[in-house]
Amino acid sequence: MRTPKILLLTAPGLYGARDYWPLLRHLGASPQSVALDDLRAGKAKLMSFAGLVIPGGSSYEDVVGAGQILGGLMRFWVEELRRFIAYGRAVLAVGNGFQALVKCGILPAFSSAAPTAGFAPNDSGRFEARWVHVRLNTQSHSPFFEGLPEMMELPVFHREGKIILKSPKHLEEIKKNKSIAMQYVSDDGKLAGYPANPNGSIFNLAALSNPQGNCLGLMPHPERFTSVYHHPNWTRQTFRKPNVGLELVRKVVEYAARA
Amino acid sequence: MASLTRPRGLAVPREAPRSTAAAPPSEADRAQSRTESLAAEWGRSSLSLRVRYQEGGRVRQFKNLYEETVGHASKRLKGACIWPANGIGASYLVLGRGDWALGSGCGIAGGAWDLEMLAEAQRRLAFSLGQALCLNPSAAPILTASFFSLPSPQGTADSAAKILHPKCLAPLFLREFAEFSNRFGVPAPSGGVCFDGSAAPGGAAVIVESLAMMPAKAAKQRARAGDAVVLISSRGGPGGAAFDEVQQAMAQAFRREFFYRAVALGAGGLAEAVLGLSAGRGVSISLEKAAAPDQAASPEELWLSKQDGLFLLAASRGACREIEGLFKERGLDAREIGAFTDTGRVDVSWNEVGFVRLDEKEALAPRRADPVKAVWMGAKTAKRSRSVGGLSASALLRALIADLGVASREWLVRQMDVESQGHTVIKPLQGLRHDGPGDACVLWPHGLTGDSADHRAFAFGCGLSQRMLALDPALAAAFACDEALRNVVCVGGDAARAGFWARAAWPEWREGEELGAVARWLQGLGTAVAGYGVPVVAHQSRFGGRASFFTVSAAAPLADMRKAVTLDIKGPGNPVYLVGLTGEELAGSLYAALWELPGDGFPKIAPRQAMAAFKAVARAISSGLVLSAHDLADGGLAVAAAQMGFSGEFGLHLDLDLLPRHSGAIDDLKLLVAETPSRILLEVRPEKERDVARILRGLPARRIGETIANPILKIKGLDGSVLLEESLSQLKALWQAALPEALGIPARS
Repeated sequence: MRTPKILLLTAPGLYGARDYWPLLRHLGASPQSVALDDLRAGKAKLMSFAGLVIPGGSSYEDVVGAGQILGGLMRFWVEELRRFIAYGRAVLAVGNGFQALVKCGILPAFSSAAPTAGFAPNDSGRFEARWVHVRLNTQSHSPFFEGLPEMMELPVFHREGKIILKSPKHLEEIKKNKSIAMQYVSDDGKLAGYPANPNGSIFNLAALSNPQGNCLGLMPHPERFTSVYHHPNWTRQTFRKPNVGLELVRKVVEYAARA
Repeated sequence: MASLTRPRGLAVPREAPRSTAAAPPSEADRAQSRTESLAAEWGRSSLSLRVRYQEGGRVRQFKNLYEETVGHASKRLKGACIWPANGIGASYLVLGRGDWALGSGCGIAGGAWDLEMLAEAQRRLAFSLGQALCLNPSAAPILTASFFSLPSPQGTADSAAKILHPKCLAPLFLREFAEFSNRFGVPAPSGGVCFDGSAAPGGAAVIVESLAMMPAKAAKQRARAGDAVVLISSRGGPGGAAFDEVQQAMAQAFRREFFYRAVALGAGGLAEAVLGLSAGRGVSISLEKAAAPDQAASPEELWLSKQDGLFLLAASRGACREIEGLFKERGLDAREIGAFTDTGRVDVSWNEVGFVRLDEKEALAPRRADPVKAVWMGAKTAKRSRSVGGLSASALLRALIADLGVASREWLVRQMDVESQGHTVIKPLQGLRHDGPGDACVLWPHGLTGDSADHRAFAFGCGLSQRMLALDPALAAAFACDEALRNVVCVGGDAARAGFWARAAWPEWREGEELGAVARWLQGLGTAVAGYGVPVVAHQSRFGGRASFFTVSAAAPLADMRKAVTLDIKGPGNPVYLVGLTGEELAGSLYAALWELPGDGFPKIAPRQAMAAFKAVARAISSGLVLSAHDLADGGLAVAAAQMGFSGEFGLHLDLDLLPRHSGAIDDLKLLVAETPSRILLEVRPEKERDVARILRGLPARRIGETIANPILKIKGLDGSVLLEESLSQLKALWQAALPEALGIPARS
C-alpha cells in the first residue's frame, strides 16, 4: 500500500487532531496538520491530498453553537471540497468536524447548496458522554464499511448531537439515496429512545455520508475505540470486542491509498 | 485582614528612587507592598511558616511547618522520586522505568456559594491546566480531576434565597463547569462531589488537579542569566480554544528549542508568574513592555492584577523574534518583557525607572521574627443523641446507600468527557452496564509514549474525608491518604511507587485554633507519609474561603495495564476475600453522621500494616489472580459489597463470623457499617485461590464468602442467622435515584 497523504484539519479548539495525527501515522498514512487559515491563504492545496480528516473537539469553543463558526469559516472552501469529494477522495468528519460539514452544506449531499440539516442540543439538555450501540446501514455504498460488523459499540461525547432535517422529504431523500450511514440502536439492534439514542436524533441518525459513501460524517468517535482496552467492559470479556474504531479509520486510510 | 495586607518581617532593600511622573510614589509603594504580600501568600500557600504549635500543655516550635511535618519526610523516603520544580506546588513524580514523569498543576477556589463561584472555579480549572502545561516545556496535560464541596441540598432550608438554593444552583453549577472543562480536550475521569451539610453556611470550595505527563529527562531546566522573559497572551481569554492554540504553539516552539521553561499567570498576576519563573535566579522586567498596544493599564495593574490565559516563557537568547512570529501565526501575542540576571532579585522598572525591587530569598523564606500561633484543642467527639434502635440491617443499608455521600454520581460523570486523548482504559463508571461506581481510573498514555506495545500505565484515585475533618484534621489527613492509596491499589496500582498530591481550601487566615487545625492536618499528612512510605509530591493550601475542604490524590504506576481490574463482580461461585481488620469504632462514619450516634472512639489506622496489605493486593492483581476489587469506604462492608454486586449483576453471600476483626468486635450492625480504614474486598479466581491465600498469608485477610448467580446481597450475622438479604436491583435503584432526587433533576431513563 502506498502512503496516502491525508490533510488533518486544525482549528482553535479542534483538539481531536491530537488523537488523529498519531493514529493516522500508525495506520500507515502521512498526515499533515493544516490550519484553516493556511488553506485560506493558499499555503496548502486540498487537491494535493488523498484524504481529509476533520476531527472532533470544540472548535472556537462552540460559542454560537457546535461547529457553527468552523462551518461558517469553511464556506470559502466548499466548492473545492465538493470537487475533492466528487473525485472520490476520502473524507472523514467526526463530532465537531461533522457538525461543521453539515453547517456548510456538504452533508447531507443534495443538489442544492443550502444546508438542509443541522444539529440541535441533545434532548436531555446536557452533555452526553456514553458508549452507544450503532448499526451500519448495510445498503450504504460507503467503502469505509467493508468488512466491518453490522453492529458496533462506539463512544459519543457531545452536547449538540441531535440531527434535525429541514423537512420530512429530506429524510425520505437520504433514505432513498442511501446517505444514512449509521443509526443509534439498543443492544439488541432495534431503534430505541434515550439513552440508546443519546441525543434524540431524527430516525436515530448517528452518521451520514454522501450517496457514494466516500464522505462520511459521524457523531460517535472511532478514534476512541482503537484498542480493545478502550471498551468499558474489557475487564469482563473473555473474548475482547474488536476495536472497530481503529478498523473504520483503517478503511479510510486504505481507501485513500487506493484513490 | 491586616495580616494579609501587611506581612511582618518581609522588609526588602529599596534603593531606586521611585518618584516619577509615569509611576507616582504612592503607586510604586503600593506595588512594592503588594508584591511583598504576594510573596508572603506563597509562604501561606505552601504552609512554609514559622509556627508555635500548642496541643494541650505541649508546645512545639516549627521553623518551617510544611518541611518539618511533610516535606522532609517525603524527601527522606528511600527510592522516592520527587523532583522539585520551580514555583509552588510544582514537582514531579517519576514513573515507569524512570523515563517519564507526572506533574500536577492545581487551582483552588473557595468562597461564597453563588454564580461568581462558578466563574472562579472555571478560571481555576484553566489556570491549573496552564500550570500543568508549564511544568515542563514538553509536558502534555493528560487528566483533570475536579473536587467540589457544595452545600447540601438536604440540609438547606427551602426558604433560602431561591436562586442560591443548592437544588437550583448545584445542577447549573456542575453542568456549566463540566461543559467548560470539556472544551479543553483533557479527560476528566476522576473527581468528587461532597455535599457537606456541616460546612459554613453559604460556603463552597472547588479544587482542581491537572496532571501532565512528560519525559523525565527533559524536566530539569533552570533559568539562565541573560535569557529572555517572554509574555504570551491570547485574546480569547482562558477558554479551551485559546488553550489548544497555546499548547500547540508551545510544543512547536519547544521542539525548535526556542524556550525551556514556562509559567501560567493566575490570581497573583505577572508578579507571581515572574517569581515562579525566576525561582531565585534573578530577573529584570520592563513593565511598560507588558502592556498590549491597545491596553490602558497602570503599572500596578499590569504587575499585580489577576490575569487569565497568559503565560510567561524563559526563552533562549536570540529566539524572541522567532517566538513572536510563531505565536502570531496562531493569533497569539508574544512580547519580550525582560531578561534573567544572576542577582537573586526581581527588579521591575516602568519606563526605565525602578518600580518594584524584591530580594527573592528574603521574601520567600519563612523568616518572620515572630512565629504564628497555632493551637489544637483536641479531637471533637460526635454528638450523643438519637438512637438507632429498632432499625433493621436492611433498613440501615438502604439509608446508607441512598445517602448523598455514597449515591451515584452518574448524572455528573455522563457530562464529563472522560475519554478524550484515548488514554482512559479504566473509566469512572464501571460494571456490566457502565453505570456502577469506580475506585480509580487507569490511564494508558501510549499516545504520548508513542508505543502501543508498551502497556505501562498509571492509576489515579483520590481520598476525601470531610466528616473526619470536623473531628480531627490529623486523622482526616491520614484517612484520606489511606483512601486514595487503596483506591489506586484496587485497580492494580503499585502502592510502593505511588505519590500523593494534597490540596486544601481553608477559611480566613487566623492564628490560634484555625491555624491549629491546619497544623494538625499537616502533622497527620506527615504521619501518613512516614507510615505508608509514600511521598507527598506537592501540596498547596488556599486561605480566604468559607469552608474547610481538602483532597488527597494518589497516582501509582501499573507495569501492565492489561492486568487492571474493576470493582464489578465477574461471575458466580468465586471466593470473596476481605483484606484488613474491621473494628467497631464509628466516629466519623456515615452511620454515625446519619444518626448522630456516640462516637464509640475513632477507627484505628495502622499505615505500616496497611501498606503491607496494599502491596500484597497489588501483587495479587498484577499476577492476574483477582477478578474484582473494591475498597471499603463510606457505609462500610455492606455498601461496598452491594456496589460490587449490582455493578456486575451477580449476588454475594457473606458471613460476618469469618470477618478478620479486632478482638472484642461482636456487634453485627457495627461490623456491617464500620468504616475502619485500609480494607479491600476481593473477588478472586477460584482456580487461583491457593495462590491468593499464599500472597495474603500473615496478613489480616480471610475468605468471607462467595459470589452467587442470584443478584441478592445475603449476609449472615455472628450467630449464623441471616442478618440481611436484599435485592441488589432495588439497592441500585435507590443508589441511582438519590442524587437526581436531591437536586430535583430528572432521573436517568
